[in-house]
Amino acid sequence: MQKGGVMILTNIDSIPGKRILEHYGLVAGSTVRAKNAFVDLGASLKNIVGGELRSYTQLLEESRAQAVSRMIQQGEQLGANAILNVRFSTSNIAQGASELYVYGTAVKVE
Amino acid sequence: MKFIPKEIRENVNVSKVPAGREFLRLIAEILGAILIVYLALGFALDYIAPRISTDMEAAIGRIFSAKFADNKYPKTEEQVQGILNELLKRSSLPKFDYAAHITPSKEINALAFPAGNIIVYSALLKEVKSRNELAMVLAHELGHFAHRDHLRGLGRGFVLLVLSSVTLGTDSTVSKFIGNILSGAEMKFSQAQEKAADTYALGLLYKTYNNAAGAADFYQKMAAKEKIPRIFYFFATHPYIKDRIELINGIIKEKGYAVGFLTPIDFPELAKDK
Amino acid sequence: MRDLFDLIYFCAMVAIGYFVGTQVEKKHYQEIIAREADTMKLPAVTGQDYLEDNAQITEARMVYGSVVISTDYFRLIVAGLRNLLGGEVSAYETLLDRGRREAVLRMKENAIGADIILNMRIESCQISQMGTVEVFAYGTAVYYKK
Repeated sequence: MQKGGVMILTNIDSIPGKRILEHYGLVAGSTVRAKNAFVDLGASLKNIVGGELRSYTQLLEESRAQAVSRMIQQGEQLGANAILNVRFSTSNIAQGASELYVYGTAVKVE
Repeated sequence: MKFIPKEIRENVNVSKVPAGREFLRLIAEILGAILIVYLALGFALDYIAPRISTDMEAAIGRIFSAKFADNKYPKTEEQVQGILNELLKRSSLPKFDYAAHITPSKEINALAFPAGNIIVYSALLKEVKSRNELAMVLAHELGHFAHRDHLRGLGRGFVLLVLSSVTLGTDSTVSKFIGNILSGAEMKFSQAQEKAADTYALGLLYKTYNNAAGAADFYQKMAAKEKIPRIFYFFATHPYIKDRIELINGIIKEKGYAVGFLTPIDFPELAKDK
Repeated sequence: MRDLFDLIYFCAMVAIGYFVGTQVEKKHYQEIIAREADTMKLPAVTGQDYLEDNAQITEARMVYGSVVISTDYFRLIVAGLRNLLGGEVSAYETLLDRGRREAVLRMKENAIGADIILNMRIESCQISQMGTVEVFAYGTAVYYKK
């Protein structure tokens, strides 16, 4: 479970201990981020020795955080206070740019 | 579960910046970055060039050596190298293997490359009529070596070459690639550097031969061909040619140099190449 | 001379991309908003437990919608420049937003008369290097007894 502001997110069908009143359908948030050409050089060097590419990890973490916050914004517009069955998807949509999106079902719980 | 259909009014998944403005902003950022790199390289060059040791220069010179490998005019090179060696005996220059290389070209020019390589274009040799004249030209290039002008003359690319030579070594493909680009690039010396080289050359010429004849001959020939008026030379890389002749003649008079005979020279190998 | 022609060609492509592309995008969005208004009654949810209480189900079948969508040349150049400096690529954001909404709409339009679409998933992938993306949405359409 993740609490984002007043919005509760889960990737299961319910929030244990709370009753779902109504749902509003699909909400989604997405970002497309490009990596920096200079950061890329550093990563290529790291490729030789292997191990975690920290700059990319950070890049995708930021993207994910932004995508989630956008989804929460959509949910708030609908008057929801929770989003259930959240799913993430990362894909490479062009060279050097990857899209990250997250989608779920906006509901009101009590 | 009850479903309540509602409309999502504001699209949060697109940024508010219109594509046109984004484009202009990116262009501005990239140009800014390029400008900063350009300025930084300029400062780096001013810092690095005086600090290159002769050993490092010899190592870097190896990168350019491939360019001089093919020898189209072996006999001519011997002739020119002979005069160069005479000059070297009486000079106190940085220790390099000074070598003259003749390159076929329609341009009248001679260049000083790292590690003691002097490139003389065939068109220049065709203009030269006396050993004295040629000695002055070679001594002028030696002057650039004496003052290490050629290191700064290679420009900002030289910084990249030094960095890559120091980190990756002079045998790496990266270093060779940069070297290739630089050897094609134009060597630029400042007007002050050119005048200083002329002064040095005259001194060395006289020390070697005790004869200042022919010192200004080459420039006088070039002056006859010169059509551009003096005023445009303010921004040029080399000084107004008549000024150079005046400078040389001025020193000859001031120091009371003896002006003797000219020894003619010709290049049969080049004459075949019309 | 050749270089000049290449440059003119490039500028023409970019200009066409900018003006025509912006129009195409605007029209597409208008279309999408209209169709979303039409299909608003049919929810697409990402889980299973959203069935109406006491509903009797007559039919359940998988439905899907997909679209291959491309960005215009101008936005492609902008994305390329953005790739140097890093950051959000706004050009592709509209592309994927449109693609996703279009795919979900097509899925819903394939399930007219259904009451809810359960367990919806959305996948997207790159088709070409020139900014072409496929978006694919699928779910289970459930029909209640009327």
